[in-house]
Amino acid sequence: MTKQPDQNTISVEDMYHDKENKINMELSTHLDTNIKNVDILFKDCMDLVKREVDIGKEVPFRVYGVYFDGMVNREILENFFLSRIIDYKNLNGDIFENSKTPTQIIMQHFSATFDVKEVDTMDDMIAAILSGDSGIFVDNSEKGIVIATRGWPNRGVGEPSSENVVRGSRDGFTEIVRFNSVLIRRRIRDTKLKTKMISFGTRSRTDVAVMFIEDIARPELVEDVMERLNKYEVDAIFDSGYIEQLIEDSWKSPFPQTQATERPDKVASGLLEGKVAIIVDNSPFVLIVPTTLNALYQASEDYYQRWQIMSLTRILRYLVSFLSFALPGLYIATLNFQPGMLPTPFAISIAAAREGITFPTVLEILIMEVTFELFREAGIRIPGAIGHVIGLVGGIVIGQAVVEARIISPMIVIIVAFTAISTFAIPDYSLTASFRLIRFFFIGASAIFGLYGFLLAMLFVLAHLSSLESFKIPYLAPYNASDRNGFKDLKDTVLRFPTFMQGTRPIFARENQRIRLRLKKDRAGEDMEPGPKKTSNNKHVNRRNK
Amino acid sequence: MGKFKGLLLLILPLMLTGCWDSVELNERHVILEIAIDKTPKPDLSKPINERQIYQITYGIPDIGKLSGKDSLAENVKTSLTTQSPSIATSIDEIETKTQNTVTFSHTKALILGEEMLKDKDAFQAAIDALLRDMRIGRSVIVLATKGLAGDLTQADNPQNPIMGMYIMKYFNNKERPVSYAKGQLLANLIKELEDTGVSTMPMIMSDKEGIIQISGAALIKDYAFVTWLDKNEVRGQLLVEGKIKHVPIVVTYKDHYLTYMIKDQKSKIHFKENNGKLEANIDLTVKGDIIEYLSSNNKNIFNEESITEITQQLKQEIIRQTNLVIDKSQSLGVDFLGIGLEMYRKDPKQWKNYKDTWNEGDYKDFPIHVDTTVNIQNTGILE
Amino acid sequence: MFSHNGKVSVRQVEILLILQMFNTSILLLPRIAANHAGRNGYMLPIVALAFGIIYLFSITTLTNRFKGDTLVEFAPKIIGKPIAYCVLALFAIKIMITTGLEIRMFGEMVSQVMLPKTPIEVIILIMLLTTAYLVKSGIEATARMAEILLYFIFIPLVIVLTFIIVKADYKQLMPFFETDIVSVGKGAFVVSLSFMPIEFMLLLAGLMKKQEKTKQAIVIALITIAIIETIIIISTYAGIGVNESKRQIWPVLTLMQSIQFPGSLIENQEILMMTSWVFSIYMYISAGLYFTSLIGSRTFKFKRENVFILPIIPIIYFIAILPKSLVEAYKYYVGFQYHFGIWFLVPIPLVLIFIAKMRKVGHVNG
Repeated sequence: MTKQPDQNTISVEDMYHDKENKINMELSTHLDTNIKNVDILFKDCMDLVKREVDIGKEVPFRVYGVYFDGMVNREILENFFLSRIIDYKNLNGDIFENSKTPTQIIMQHFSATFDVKEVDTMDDMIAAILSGDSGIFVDNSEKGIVIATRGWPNRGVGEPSSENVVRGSRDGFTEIVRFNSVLIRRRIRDTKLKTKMISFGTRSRTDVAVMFIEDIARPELVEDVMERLNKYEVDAIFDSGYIEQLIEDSWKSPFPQTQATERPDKVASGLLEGKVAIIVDNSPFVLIVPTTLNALYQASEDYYQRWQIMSLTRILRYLVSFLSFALPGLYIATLNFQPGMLPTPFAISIAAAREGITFPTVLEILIMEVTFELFREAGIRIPGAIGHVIGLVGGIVIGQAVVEARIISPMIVIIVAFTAISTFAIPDYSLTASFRLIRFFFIGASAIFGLYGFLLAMLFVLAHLSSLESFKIPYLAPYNASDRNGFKDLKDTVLRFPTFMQGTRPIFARENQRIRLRLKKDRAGEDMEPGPKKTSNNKHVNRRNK
Repeated sequence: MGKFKGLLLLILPLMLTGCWDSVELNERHVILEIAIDKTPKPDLSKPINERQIYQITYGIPDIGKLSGKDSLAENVKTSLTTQSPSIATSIDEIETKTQNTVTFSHTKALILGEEMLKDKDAFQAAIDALLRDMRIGRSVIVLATKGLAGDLTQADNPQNPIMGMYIMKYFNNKERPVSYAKGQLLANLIKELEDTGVSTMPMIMSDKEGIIQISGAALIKDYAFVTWLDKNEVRGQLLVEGKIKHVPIVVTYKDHYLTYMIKDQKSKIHFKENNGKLEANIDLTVKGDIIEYLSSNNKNIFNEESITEITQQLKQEIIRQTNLVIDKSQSLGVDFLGIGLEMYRKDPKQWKNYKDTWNEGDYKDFPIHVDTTVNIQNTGILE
Repeated sequence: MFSHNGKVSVRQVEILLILQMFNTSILLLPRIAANHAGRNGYMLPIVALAFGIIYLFSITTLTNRFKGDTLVEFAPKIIGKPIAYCVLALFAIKIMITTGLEIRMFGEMVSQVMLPKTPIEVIILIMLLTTAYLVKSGIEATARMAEILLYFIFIPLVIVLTFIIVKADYKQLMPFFETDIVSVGKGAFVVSLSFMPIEFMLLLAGLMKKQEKTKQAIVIALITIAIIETIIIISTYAGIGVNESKRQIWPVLTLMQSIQFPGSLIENQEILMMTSWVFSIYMYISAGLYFTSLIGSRTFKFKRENVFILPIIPIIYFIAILPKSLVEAYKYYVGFQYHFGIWFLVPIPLVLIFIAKMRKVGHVNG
């Protein structure tokens, strides 16, 4: 039921906030007005701490500090600011020079921290307060002071929960934007690593940081990202998932068009390939755009271990992910439509196992798939150790019981269990979700039309993937447009070629920034900067350098 | 959204019933062998499309018993016989007698009775019917049998009651020596009959206890039966075609038998003019070991002189075995050794002279010489 | 970078052409070759290359005069609007008919091998709908799909052909060089009709990024297809014999049936080979659908290219279900290709070039 506001009384919210939820009050020079405004705005906000301090000795000089309880690091505020003010009161001295504004005086003399700034508008002031900084209103001044005192409760840097490695770093992103960008900046110590900040969401004012390497990433890409981020006006966002779904190219597709990761090394290597990272406050998952299907199959550990075993692992991943959505469909297609395809002893034993089973094969598979999805969902929500046990017990015991009761034939249990586990071979979690969905599509197509239906379903999915794009990069690159980069992109797809062969950047990067690895002696004697090889037609280079 | 739900509801029952072609695997009877005979006393007064000339026996295995599980059927195999004017009507009739629908996609063996082979039209029609519809695969093994094929398949074989599986395992085994029988696939049969008009298929028979023996062959010319070849003649045929593998040859040497095992054999046919007449020369190359001999102090075989003598003996024996089949085929006037085909391939101009009369008389008198090279590689671990 | 300008790269054109030429004609090829040239049929594709070069020159000379334009744009420039639109309509109708017949033949084959009891209309319809889904995304998506399908089509084929080649009976090919030149010539001409998809270049050349490389793209495609056809004919002869090739309607299918993989992992793997077939037919149908809709949309100067796709589907569907049996369909298919296949390959382009030269239209940079 929506409450219609009376015509006579307009709420506080409507009066002082404009359409974008920004405060349109003014920062007045009278402190009392400011105090009153703050009270109006933050009516019923009991967690706001307000205090007026008079720091003048002879002449009253009042300041008014406002902050949210629990969100500030009180040590900075009190030790490095307030105490100095109080100390001053007990000292002597004339600091009131006329050439400086009151805010400048305070900033110069009373703050023992570098991170203070002046703000002009009430909106900025309030926004800062809402973000955990402390706002200081100064009497007789048209500006206010904001001290960076953020110190809210956080989890600290821990291991990424979804992407584990045996070899490789174990720090993962947390919910704080600044920590996340720090983790990235530690890995790329280059001045050209840029961080742009946006505030997303009218009510949540979430900080979103866009990081990219300026001379590697294409400027069109960066522009495109910024444009898309500014396209929507949302209430609030709580996770990078919201942003992902708002900025992607095709909302109808079940495939993820951005890569969400908890690992800083993945983000760093993506940035060095020319991609753009989007860090969202309150979300430990950082988005990397653009992405391709191949990128979703790459795990960080692939590069830290040796190439032979990792090539084998990659092949296994592709094979297993294909089986994860194709196997039930293939089973139905061969069994019901083309039994001639199976070797005779195998066909006989499967047929024997199916004697007396009541349901048709399709229904069996659907029942088992639904059951396994049920286990999966339930397993997520059951806490801790019990959750793992229930998953295991559920699978084995119920599978066994169901076979004994002649509801399902044992082959189906094997197939469904295999597909359920094989989805975990894929490094990216959203991709496994897409495969789970496609699996049902394949089951349906195979059930109606057999192998022909299966093949058409594959063509359908391939057609969909071929037309899918992620920020103007075809989703199936580098299998697709491999001649763009002289087939060199293919060195890191199904097989991972040895490290010294991975000398070129993929197509995401700019055209003149394609070399990333070469022997030092190959460059000896040439007076070049590290990075791009000077090409004969420098037209691109000149245009970029403008 | 409403349209989508409607579409989903429409698709769901389609999915579950599988529309047109979906048949659950346990609702199919997998026929493993087909035995085709000519009905012993057909009623010839009826018109052709009602004349029941085909007597076909289907062996229907019970899947449950076959895999060792409990099942309601009594035996592991049930044989059903039908008499019908054509293969398709036979299948039609069978469907009235079986619990599940029959499928031929796993048929392994096709056994043809003697009378069926002798009736040229029926034989050719049967083969055509089986292939045209693509019901059975082209890699089915064809066999011929004396008497009625139906009796053969219904006999109780103690090793494996399902004849089809027995035959499949028999011929799939690569370790098996190729000695007295030459396996023939349906596709090959057709190919050879189309190419030259002459082909063979292995013969299968069973004795009173039900033990099955596969040896010898049936000779077919232009889709009509000519005669049975016994196992020695097939041995000769295999020698000429170079397909012998792991076969023992026994000769007498110094009052004892000596066995030589052929490991590998090749054969080459070429043609030469000799006194104005063309003649064929078959060169056999044989490699193997001596595996049996009784050697003692004064008669061991580990010396060059013995080896040479033994080689001579073996040559004679092999040539004798080959000549057996050459004489037989020439006396019949049917070239099932492929000599004519070789001439066509190697020397097409000469073939033009012989082409028309090859089967009539030219082959009978065509001079064919056999020559052998025998390599004894070792004598085992005894000297 | 990957801008949506509707242009395709040289490699994508090569692959598109190869996949389009790899259609049902290849299945029928050993039969045609055996009927015309007997045991020496495997020479026919090589000789057919000569015809292919003629087609190549006639088409590229025309398209190179009008860089950046497809047939829809430069035909009016040469012969004036009314006649040009007639020519274009004829072209569109021809593509539709060939596509319809092709999908019918394909449906017959699927019906025989995979789904005997399913009505053939349904088989054809769902194939058409799936192709429509691809084509509505434009030529770039189609070209990208072709690049992916290349792997899927040729890898199973190569594996199977390896098995055949190792175990085959090469004596079937002897004696060599027995057939006379006239039959070889005629046979080569019929085989060269399998190069008919080159006529799509009349439209596709204008969509290429580097149009000067058109000749190279077509040559590579032609040579590849000729080699593949020769290998298939040799394998079919060696695998099932020349006489069987003459008798069977789908000799290559019979060939696939007669292979036995060692270890019997999969029996009856001709069904596995149907994957290669389904995928390559898919590309052909997509191309037919796309180009017809391209002609339509460019003639009426619509911005969106996929307006015409939906109306064309029923037309092609009805053409496909028109023949009442396989015999009729086969007759129409081979007959149509034989009589009308060559028109847009040689005569009409040559006429257009001639008129263009007379009227001095178009650039002559070559």
